[in-house]
Amino acid sequence: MKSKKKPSKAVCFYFQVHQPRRLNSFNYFDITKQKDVFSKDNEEILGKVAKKSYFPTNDLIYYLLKKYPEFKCAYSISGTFIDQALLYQPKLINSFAKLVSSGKVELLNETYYHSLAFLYSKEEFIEQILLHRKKIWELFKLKPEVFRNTELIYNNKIAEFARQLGFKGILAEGWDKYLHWRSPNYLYTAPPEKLGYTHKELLMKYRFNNKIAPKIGLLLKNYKLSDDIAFRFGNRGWAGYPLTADKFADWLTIVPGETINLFMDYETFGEHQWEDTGIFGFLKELPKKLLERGITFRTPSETIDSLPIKDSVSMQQLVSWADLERDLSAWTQNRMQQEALKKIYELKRYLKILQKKLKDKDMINGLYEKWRYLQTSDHFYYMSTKYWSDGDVHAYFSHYESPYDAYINYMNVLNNFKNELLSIKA
Amino acid sequence: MGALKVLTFGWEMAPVMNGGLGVVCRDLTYALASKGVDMTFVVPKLPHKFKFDSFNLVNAAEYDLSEDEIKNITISTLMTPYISGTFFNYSPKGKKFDQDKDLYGFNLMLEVQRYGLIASKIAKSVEADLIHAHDWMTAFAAIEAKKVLRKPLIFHVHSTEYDRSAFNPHPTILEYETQALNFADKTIAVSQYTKNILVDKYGIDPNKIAVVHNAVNNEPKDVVSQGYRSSKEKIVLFLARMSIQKGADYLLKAAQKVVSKKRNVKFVFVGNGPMLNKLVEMAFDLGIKDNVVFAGALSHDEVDKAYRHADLFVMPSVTEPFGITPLEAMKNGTPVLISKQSGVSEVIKNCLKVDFWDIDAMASKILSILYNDTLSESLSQNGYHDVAQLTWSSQADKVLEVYQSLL
Repeated sequence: MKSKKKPSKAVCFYFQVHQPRRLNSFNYFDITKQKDVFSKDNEEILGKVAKKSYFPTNDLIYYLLKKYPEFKCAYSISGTFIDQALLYQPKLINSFAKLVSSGKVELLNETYYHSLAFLYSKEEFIEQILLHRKKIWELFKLKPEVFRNTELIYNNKIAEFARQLGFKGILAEGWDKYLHWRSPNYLYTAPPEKLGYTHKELLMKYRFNNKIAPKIGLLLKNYKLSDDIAFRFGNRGWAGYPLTADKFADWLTIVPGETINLFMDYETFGEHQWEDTGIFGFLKELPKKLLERGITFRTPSETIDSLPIKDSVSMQQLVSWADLERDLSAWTQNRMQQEALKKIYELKRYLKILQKKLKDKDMINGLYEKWRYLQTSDHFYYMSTKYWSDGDVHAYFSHYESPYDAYINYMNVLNNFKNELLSIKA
Repeated sequence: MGALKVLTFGWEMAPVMNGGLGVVCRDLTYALASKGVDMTFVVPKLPHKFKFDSFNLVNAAEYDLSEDEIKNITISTLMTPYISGTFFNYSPKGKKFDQDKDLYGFNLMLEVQRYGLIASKIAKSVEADLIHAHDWMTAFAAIEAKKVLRKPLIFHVHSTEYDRSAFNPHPTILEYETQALNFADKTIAVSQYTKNILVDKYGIDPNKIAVVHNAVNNEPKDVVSQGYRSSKEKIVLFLARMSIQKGADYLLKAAQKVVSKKRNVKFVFVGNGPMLNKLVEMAFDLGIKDNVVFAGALSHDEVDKAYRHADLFVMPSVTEPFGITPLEAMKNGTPVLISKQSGVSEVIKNCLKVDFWDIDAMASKILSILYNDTLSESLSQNGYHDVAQLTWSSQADKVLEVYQSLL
């Protein structure tokens, strides 16, 4: 039963934890060779980020969970992160498990391989969600009820897929273009969406929950306030600089609404914003300052359970949380990206054939895993030429010399994998 | 206040030229003149009379020297300004192979010193607020003119002796260059890459050096369609002097690796120079003679056509202060692969880059571009933006800033 009392204002924190599994460097001559697909650098990079960001932030969150009974937060931890953590930094998984054991941390469900699968294969999309679900259960004994798609890619149809699979909630960017006059600081839902027969059948087959919510809860990121922390925190040229916990808590007090959804990359703490910006001190202080002002904390599930649905927000077009355009252009705009995506999803056909023929289960699982690792959205992000000529954030996140080199390397790996598939005799 | 008057010393002026310097000098001088600077450009010789509307072209050969003056010239034996080091004495079958000889006779050092003496005479007859000199051959001229006029000197470095000799510098030229650099009030380097050489090898104060990249004169045309290109045979184009600096030998080695994967590729080498015979032999030795064409020098129109027919343009230079040819290729819609040891790599982004010595990477990238249409078309189309952004008008503004800083 929902209480009639006006709900108090709360912050809903969600942190994205993700590391792509970067590819080994493949030149044209490597296409026909046997070679490791993954870069040796992954271990070093994860070690560095773990030291700068994951471990210290986890320690801090643990402290906050202990100190303030009201403090809560949510994570979405990608499968590609989990796999690499298990390989290179197993203590990281323990560290997250310790947070989860507080009972105040919610874990969200996403596509295991942080992929764009929804756009190219609905079946693959669902299978990756279920793989991720399974992993979260294995490691943390939690069954996620809320879904977040890769890079907050969202539209009405994705919401309907999530609902029919069994989720009660989904996350999206609170982008003004679709909100119009509405504020992101309330609970919304998606409009009814009719799905075709094949999709309905697919969802019936895979649903993990027989109780389908009549309406899915839609949580919208307050991008202005989220980005004040994630992007602007250490920017000396920004009018809000320096951002103190007091100042930020004041801003949240003034803002009308019932839930302030602060969604951001977990690497914000210590990696995107370095320790010397004071980001850790800020996070440490913030719960106290918010609680002093009567602002509490809710996880996404609690937000959906406790708040009334304010309205239905329709997003026909695909929206993401990336770049100024908030669309899919960072991954799918240019011809190289389109070609690479087309080619990788074409390989599904080969895998299906092999699956029928091959008796060796481990072998077919290994091939599927490799294929899925090649679907991680980051590979396509590196190929973006959007702001290439100006040089900027895309270049910052890429280890390639240019988008062209990223594309060449990806295609060489892909063609190597294709050769491998073609050479297998059942 | 009248217009700013600049007395400029060059070595060649397009269309009469041997390398890219003549084009750069013409386009920069023209752009400066368009901005209201009163430019006088002096060259040592002109084979026939021609002139420009917007600036004053002076032929130093029209000035006479007395016998006493000529006596003062010390004789040395160097022949051409852009040959030295290992291939200095190389001359295929004893034939004349270089335009420099026709333009400047057999004794380059003599010409350089003669030019200095005449410069002093010219300086006495003109008014100027500044002196601007291009490359080492004008070193004497610039110094003599400065002695007469007592005005600030800008020494503009388009290439250093280390570049031309692929790091086996000729001591005399090095000496001339160093003198000019030390005598100059300010130096303009055509790239950060060149600035670094001037600081590291010549010990020049970095604060005295401004970087002004070159540009190309162009109104970007429509991207040339792939229609020019044949699908049956892929063409990789090299276009430069055949000298040790330009790295044609590295491209040949990469070509062998390319051919080992794909037979239907032709490597077209355009240009002449002291290394030509060695390269021909090399193509035989590498067993790829059927995949390599040495086309000799081409006319201006033929060069444009060569760019358009090529599926890829490669500039594998061992060291390249700037390198204007990739811009010309991009202007013609041709994808480019360039050496990282180049100044132009600082200003173009929509291309592929490689260390000149990394034969495997070079071959691999060549193959990727030739056999992936999506990649080559992306490079071709986006390469346009790079070229469109680099205009002589904007670069002339940067030169003007250097001028202003000295007044």
